[in-house]
Amino acid sequence: MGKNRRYDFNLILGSILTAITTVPALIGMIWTPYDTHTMNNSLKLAKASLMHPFGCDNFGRDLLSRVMEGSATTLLIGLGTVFIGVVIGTFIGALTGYYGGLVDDIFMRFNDVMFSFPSLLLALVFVAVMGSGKIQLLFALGIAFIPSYVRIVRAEYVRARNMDYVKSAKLAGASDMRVMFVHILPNTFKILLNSVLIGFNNAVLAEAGLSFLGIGVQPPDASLGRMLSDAQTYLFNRPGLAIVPGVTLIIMVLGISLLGKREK
Amino acid sequence: MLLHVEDLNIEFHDHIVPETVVYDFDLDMDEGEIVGLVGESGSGKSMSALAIAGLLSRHDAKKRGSIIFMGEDILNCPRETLRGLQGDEISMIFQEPMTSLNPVKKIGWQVEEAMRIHTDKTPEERKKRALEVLRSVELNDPERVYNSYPHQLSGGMRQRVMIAAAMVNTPKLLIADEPTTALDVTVQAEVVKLLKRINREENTAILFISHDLSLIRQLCKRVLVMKGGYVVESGDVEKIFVNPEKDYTKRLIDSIPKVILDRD
Repeated sequence: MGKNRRYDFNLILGSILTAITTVPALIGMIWTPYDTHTMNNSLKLAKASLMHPFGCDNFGRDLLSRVMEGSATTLLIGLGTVFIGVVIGTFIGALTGYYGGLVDDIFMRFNDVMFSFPSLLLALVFVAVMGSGKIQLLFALGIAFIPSYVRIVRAEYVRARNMDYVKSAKLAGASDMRVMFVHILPNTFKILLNSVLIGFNNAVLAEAGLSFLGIGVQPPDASLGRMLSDAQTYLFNRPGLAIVPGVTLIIMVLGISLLGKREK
Repeated sequence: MLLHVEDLNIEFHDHIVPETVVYDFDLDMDEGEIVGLVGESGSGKSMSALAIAGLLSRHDAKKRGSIIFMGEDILNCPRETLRGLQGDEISMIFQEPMTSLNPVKKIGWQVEEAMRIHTDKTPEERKKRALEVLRSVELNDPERVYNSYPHQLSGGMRQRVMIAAAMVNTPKLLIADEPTTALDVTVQAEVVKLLKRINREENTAILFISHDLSLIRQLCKRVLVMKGGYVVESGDVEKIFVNPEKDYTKRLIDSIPKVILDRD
């Protein structure tokens, strides 16, 4: 810890932007100013007011509450997707990278096949098979994101496999599992962290994309993509309906990207 | 007899044409003996050592002959048996102290690893033993080293840490694969002295691998000279020094730099 540590602009701005979106989202998981599902005809497309800072949507639901709930949903889907991708991807990547040989060949060729589809398209296929909805979307995106993590983790394990510290660990009598997950795994965190942040962004955007297309989160539940999709019809008379969730999405993704780009 | 190696042949099959790197390697070691293994790069000395330590993975190298260590057949015993010996009765230290320690784990954790696997000591007992063994390798401030990461130590200190980690369960055999090559001359001499002391105090047999005959002469009684995968000469160090049988050994001895004093 040097005294003359330079301020890391990316880290500071990234943290601020991430906080701006995640704090309301976290609050939105337990509390919103208004109920997000109750419709009110008298407030239909209401303009911004003190009672409703962002106004109301076409069903008279408070936009702020909707955005809070929507970002919470998007955040959870993003986190869940990355979680599934990282856990399964790390496990497969570790096995193939560490053992090499035939196991590696089989898994990696299968991985290549998965990789050759754009992950959004792959998620689309999963949704088509499993049906649409929050949970299905989460699994679909999670599975679609596994191959990229397999790649990253595998490369790290291939590099580590022949390092002397791994030989030392084996020589201490450590089992393969112990070598893989106790000795090598912490060495992959640095690289994994960046890909987790990038992966989170991709997942958020993929959720928004799929929900926008109407195959992700289903009404009346809110998600940022879902809200953008609903706002299409009113784009000209009430652009705020699209701007609020859209800007929230941008800030969320930008904040995380900046965190990922922090200076080394 | 601690170690009995007979007719060891090591072949690699990772190319189209199989490649033999060690031919008919024989070695007998008694408890508490120090044997030197000398030869140029690529002469097969490290490969033989890795095979004795049970570190040559079974699928990419083919081995013939037998390695009997404390009555166990290293080449054919179940992996469990092998792991039971590694870190407990056989240990090894490597050439490059920069890479042989795990960069993300504290020294203390790494020194304790073999104990964690082979003994059921409590954390307090492990720490006590780790500090004791760190002190015995002549590290000045064992408490501080215990809580350090590898990058905070110098090369010489890391090599001492490696020796400490290898000696923590007082093994019967320590294989030292060019442990001094990456160190500067003064540190080299200290490490050699340390190995000598460990051998005397713990009665640990040492297989010392080097390409430096003068180091071998300081440390060992018996030496094997390898070239191109064959043991070309073996026997008493002093005899070989005074009266080398093979031309290669002669040239090896002549290659030791001599201090020329007549400066006039």
